[in-house]
Amino acid sequence: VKLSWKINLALISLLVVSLGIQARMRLDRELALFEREMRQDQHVMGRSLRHAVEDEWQDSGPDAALAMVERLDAREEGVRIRYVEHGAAGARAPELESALPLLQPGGDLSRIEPDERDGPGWMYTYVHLDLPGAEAAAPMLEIRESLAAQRAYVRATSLRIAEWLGVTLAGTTVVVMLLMRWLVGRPVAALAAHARRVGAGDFGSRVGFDTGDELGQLARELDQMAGGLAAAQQALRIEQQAREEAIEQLRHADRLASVGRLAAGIAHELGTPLNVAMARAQMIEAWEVDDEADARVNASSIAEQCGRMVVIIRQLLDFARPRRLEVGTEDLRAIASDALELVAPLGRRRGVSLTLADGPPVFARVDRGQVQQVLLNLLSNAIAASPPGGTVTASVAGAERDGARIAVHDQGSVAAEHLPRVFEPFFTTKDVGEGTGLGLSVSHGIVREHGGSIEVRSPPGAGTTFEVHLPPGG
Amino acid sequence: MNPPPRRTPLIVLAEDDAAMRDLLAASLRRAGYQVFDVADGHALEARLFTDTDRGDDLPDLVISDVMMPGTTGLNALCSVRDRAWATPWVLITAFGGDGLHREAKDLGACVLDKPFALAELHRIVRLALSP
Repeated sequence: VKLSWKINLALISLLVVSLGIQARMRLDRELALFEREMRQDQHVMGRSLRHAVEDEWQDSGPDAALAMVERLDAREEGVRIRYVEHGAAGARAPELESALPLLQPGGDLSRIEPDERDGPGWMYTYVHLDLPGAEAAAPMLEIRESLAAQRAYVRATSLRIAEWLGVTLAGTTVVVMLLMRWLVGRPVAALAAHARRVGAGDFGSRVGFDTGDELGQLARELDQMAGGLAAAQQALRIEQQAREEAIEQLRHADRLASVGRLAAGIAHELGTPLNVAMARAQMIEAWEVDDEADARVNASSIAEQCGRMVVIIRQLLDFARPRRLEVGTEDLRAIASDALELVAPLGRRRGVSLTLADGPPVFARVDRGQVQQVLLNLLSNAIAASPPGGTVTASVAGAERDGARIAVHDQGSVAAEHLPRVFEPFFTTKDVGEGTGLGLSVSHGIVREHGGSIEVRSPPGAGTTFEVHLPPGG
Repeated sequence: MNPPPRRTPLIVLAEDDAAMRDLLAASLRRAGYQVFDVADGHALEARLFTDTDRGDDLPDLVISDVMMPGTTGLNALCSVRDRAWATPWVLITAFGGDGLHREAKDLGACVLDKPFALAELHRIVRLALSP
């Protein structure tokens, strides 16, 4: 619509200029015509009056002739007639002074003079009089007529032209606006609607018109673009789908591998106690025992092995069962301190000293019991990995933005090839029976449920550090 | 010619799990074998190589766990075969995959998967010790 107005304005300006020039030329032409007619009238009048005045001058003398001029002046309406002598003062038009001597006997001269007071002005015609005895004074008849009529005519004509111009412009505006709406507004609205649809992701729709002009070309380009976008989106979707499928397959493979490792771990962990319990039971059954007391020894061994299996299964369930976090705002340093106290006896037995680096409380939204279990796992692992006389150092640090960090450092080392596997269930480097290989897996699961991460570093000769990151806010 | 005097066969038993070790040792002793039991791979190798070099008897049979601290049973077996000793060997394993079974067979050892019945062990031991 704005474009319509702009084009309309441009068109109207052009029209106004061209019609204005045309009107002006027409007005000028009509004005010239009007003047010519006026001059012609005065010329004719002057000619007839000259003859009348010359005849009267000759027949009845100068006084009668002058009286007759006055009579004529009074009689003619709108036209003033005067007797003037070129030699005498009072000639109305000083500019004529130079022209009047050229006035030939029997000739006349017309001239338009403006009014002194911004009036319509006058048209003068001077007619040479051939009067015997008065040749020296160069007598003339002056015919003077107001240009008011001409001015009125010009005004009327101008008004008529203006009216005509106004009607033309109004008509043009209406026609241009309608045309613009039809030729530009409608297709542009359709294009805009189409662009909106494409923007909203509807690549299938088409603009649906072909005007054959520039807008039609734009519509075709838009359609082509939408087609291209649709193809690109389709390709992207297919690629995305393929990627998701690949990831799903990887996950599946990973799950299968985990199940396999889990099965192997269960077999390994349960195999020995099961073997012992079974054999002892069979021994009692076949009475391959020395006496009743020996049978009792075997039975208590069976009970002991069953207890071992119960522990393993319980840990396995702990590992597998989804835990519900009971989250509260806890001081991680206090949790670490408690955990250190709990494992202190183990450390003393192994000759390993435990320290917790000093620092302010570090608060985080965690499940106290579960984080304590993580710390117990990490600390007992660290103690087990430490050489006698070694030191296990725990540290807690926190930043509001980066979350909290708990680190447990020992002087043992983890072989590089074992590092990627330490969080796998049942992966253990400890002597069989000492650990189930579930501790770090359980810890990993707990930390992940808190939205955090756990990682291990063991650069050669620099000990091993397990580091737990807990997200800010918990 | 008289056959050499029959002596009690010597079995070296390597098992890191104490309960299992006690059970197997007791059972084998009860069956009349002489048992020398060790708790890990290093002790096994020490008994097999160091002690033998010093003059101890070569065992008539070795029963060893595969997964043990120190050296694995399989490594010890390899070392023995490297010395071209044909000592009969029984490997006990919790999860003996095909690979382990094949390897054990190549090294002339027999594999017992846990859990196994003691009768099965005794059958294999008798078989291995039969001339």
